[in-house]
Amino acid sequence: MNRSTTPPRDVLAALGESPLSAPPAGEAFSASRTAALAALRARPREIPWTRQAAVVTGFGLGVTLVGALVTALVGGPAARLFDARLPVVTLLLGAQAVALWAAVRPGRWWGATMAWSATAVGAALLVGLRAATTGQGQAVSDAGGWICTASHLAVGLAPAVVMLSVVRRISWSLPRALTAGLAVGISGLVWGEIACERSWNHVLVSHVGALAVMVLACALASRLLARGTFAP
Amino acid sequence: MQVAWQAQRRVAPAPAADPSGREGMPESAGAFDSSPAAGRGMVELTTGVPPLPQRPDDRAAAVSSAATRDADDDALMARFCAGDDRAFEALHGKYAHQLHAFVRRMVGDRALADDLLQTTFLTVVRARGRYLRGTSVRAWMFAIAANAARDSLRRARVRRLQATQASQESSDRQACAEPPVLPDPPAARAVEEALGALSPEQREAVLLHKVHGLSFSEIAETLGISVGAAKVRAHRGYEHLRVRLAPLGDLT
Repeated sequence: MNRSTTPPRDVLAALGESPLSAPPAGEAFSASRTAALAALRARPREIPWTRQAAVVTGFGLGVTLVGALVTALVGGPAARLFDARLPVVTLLLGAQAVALWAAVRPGRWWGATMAWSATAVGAALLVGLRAATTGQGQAVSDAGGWICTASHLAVGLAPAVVMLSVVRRISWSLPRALTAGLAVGISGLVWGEIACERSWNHVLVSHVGALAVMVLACALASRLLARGTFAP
Repeated sequence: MQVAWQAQRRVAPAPAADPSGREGMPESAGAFDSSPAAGRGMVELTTGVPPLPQRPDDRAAAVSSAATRDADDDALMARFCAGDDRAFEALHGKYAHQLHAFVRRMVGDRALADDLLQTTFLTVVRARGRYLRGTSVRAWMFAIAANAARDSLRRARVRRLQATQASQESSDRQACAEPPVLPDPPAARAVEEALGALSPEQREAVLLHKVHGLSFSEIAETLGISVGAAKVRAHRGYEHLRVRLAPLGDLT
C-alpha cells in the first residue's frame, strides 16, 4: 500500500460506534452532580492555594532564619566566618523560598527547576568554600559526623510535618514530592553551615548527604500518606 | 449506528483550535499520519485534530471559537469558585459526559467509571482553590479524572499482586475490569481492544488527544509532564495502534 496514494482513514472514529462512548447513566450523572452540589453548599468559600503556599513558605523560612540567627548569636567559632558565607547562605535561602512555594503551587512551574539548580550551585559552593577556608581540604577530625546529620534532620522535622500535611491534600507526583523534600532539607544545610566548621568532606557527606536523605525521606513519606484528593 | 455516532459527537466534540493558532500544526500531525517516512502500508491514523484551515478566515474562526470556549469556561469557573451553584451545574453538564467516557476507557468498567466520575466532581468542588486562573478549565478537570483513574488502576494492580503473588503479564485495564462490553460493529471493537492493550500512560495520551481533542500543551498540563513527553507518549500509542489495527479494513 502506497502511503502517498492512500488517503488517511480515521480509524479511531470507529470509537463513535462503541457503547463505551455512551453517556453515563442518568443516575450516575445526577449522583455525581448531587454529591458535588452538596459539597459546594457545605463549603461555599474556596481556600486558595496561595494561602497554603504562604503558610508553608513562611513557616519553613521562619524555622531556617530563627535557627540560623540563634546559632550565630550564640557564637560558635564558625559563626565568625558567617559574613564570608553570607552570599551562599542567601542563595540557599532564596532557593528554599522558591522550593517551598513550588512544592505547593499547582501544576508544573519553572521555579522548581530554578530551586534545584540554585541548591546544587549553593551546595557546591559550600563544599568549595570550606575546602578553601580549611587549607585546601587538609585533614580535620571528622569524628561524630553523624551528629551533624542527625541535627540537620531534626532541624527539618517541623517544616517537614507542615509540608506533608499540606501536600497530602494534593495528588502525588514524584517531582513535587522531591521538591517538598528539598524545600525542608535546606533548613539543615543553612544551619549546619553556620554551626559547623569541619572539613569539606564532612560538609559533603554529613551536610549535603543529610539534605539528600531528607529529600528521599520526605518523598517516601509523602508517597505513603493516604490521600483523598486527586487535584493536581 | 447513526444515532450512536451522533451521541459520540455530543460526548466528544470536535477539537477546537489552540488559542496560539498552532493546533493541527506539526505538534499534532506530522509524526503520526503525514510523514512519508512513517508510511509502511499500514492503516493510517489521523490525529482527530481538524485539518489546518486553509483560508485565513477559517483559521481566525477556529481560534476565535477556542478562545470563546476558554473565556466561557473561565467565567463559569470564576463564578463557581465564588460558590455559584449554577456555574458548577453548567460546568458539570458540559464536561461530565466527556470525563465519564475518558475514565471508562481508562479503567474499562462502567460501575467504576460512575464512581470515578463522582470522585472527580467532588474533587473539583473541594479543590477548586487549586485551580490556577488563566489555565484551561477542561485540562484541569481531565487532570483530576486522570489522577483518579491512575490511582484506581494502581490499586487494582496492588490487589492483583496480593491476590495472585504471580508475575502474570496482563494489562492494567484487564486487571480491574469487568468482562468488557464488546462493541459492535467489529471495527469499534477492534479499536477498543487495541486501546485497552496500550499502557495506561499511552492510553490516556491517545484518548485525550484523539478522542477528547486536547492540544498537546493541554495534555502536558493535564498529565503534569512536558509537551515533549506528551507527544512521545501519544506517538508511541499511535505506533502501537497502527500495528495492531493494520489488518483492519476500510472504515470510511
